[in-house]
Amino acid sequence: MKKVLIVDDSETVRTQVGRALIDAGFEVVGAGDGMEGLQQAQKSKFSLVLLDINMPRMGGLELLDRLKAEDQTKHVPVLVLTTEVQESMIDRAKKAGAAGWIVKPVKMALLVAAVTKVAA
Amino acid sequence: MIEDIELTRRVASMTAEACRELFDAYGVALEPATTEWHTDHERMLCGVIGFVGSGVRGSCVLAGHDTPILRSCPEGDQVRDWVGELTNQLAGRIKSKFLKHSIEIGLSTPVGLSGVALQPLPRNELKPTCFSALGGTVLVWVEVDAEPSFEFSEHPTAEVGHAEGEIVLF
Repeated sequence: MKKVLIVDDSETVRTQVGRALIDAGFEVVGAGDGMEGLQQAQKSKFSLVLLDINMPRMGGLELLDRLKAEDQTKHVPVLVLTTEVQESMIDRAKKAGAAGWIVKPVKMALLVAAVTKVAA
Repeated sequence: MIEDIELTRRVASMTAEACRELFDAYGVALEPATTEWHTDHERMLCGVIGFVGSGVRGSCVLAGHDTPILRSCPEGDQVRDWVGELTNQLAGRIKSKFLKHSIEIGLSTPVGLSGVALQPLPRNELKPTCFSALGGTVLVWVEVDAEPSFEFSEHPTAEVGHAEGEIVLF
């Protein structure tokens, strides 16, 4: 079963996205900020990381950089799920190796389809 | 930076528009309130977020009765968490509207609170914007400071690349 790491400081978002992915046959692990997300990603193998940008302790762009800098996690596809629409930020994520950018709020069916397509 | 009433008026108008759009995206219709904000002893929820850009900074408060906030919640019953996330999404929409004027702002992480008899005390004559919704009221309140040299173009000119709900795969 493919395993997805959801990194978002909103428990509501983690629950909503997690439930949709579980219904689609994924195993899901949640993390409440970038620091916790990094620890989870180092601890087990994921098929995809879904991360928010604006989070306490460590934001999503820093987490993306850290994931892409480590041998263990650099090949794991990363999708960004955020309210941010700033082109410079999207370009920054693309250059850092993100696989895609999703703007909140999003229909769960579309999000699940994107995760299914991108998950390694 | 100093308080700028005209700028605050414009940002408040953008924020009110963003608030209606946001609730609409979650299936909750907001209508302009016909009466002023009044408090009662029902529990209320409140989210607070800050923003800052070159020559400008401010804060945004989203507050409301449980019912309209909960009706917008897609999952679960963590209402304080949800009002924080909703405030974050509201600020994201405000940020998009700033970007249309080619102004970039950064956002703080939001804080969610609950309480009774929440009563704003604005520092000027601009009152927060109130909306009526099924089951209660919703309020948005912004305060903005700016450098005297800060300029906000009269009409938005820049294109913002992506819309809500959009998925871009690289």
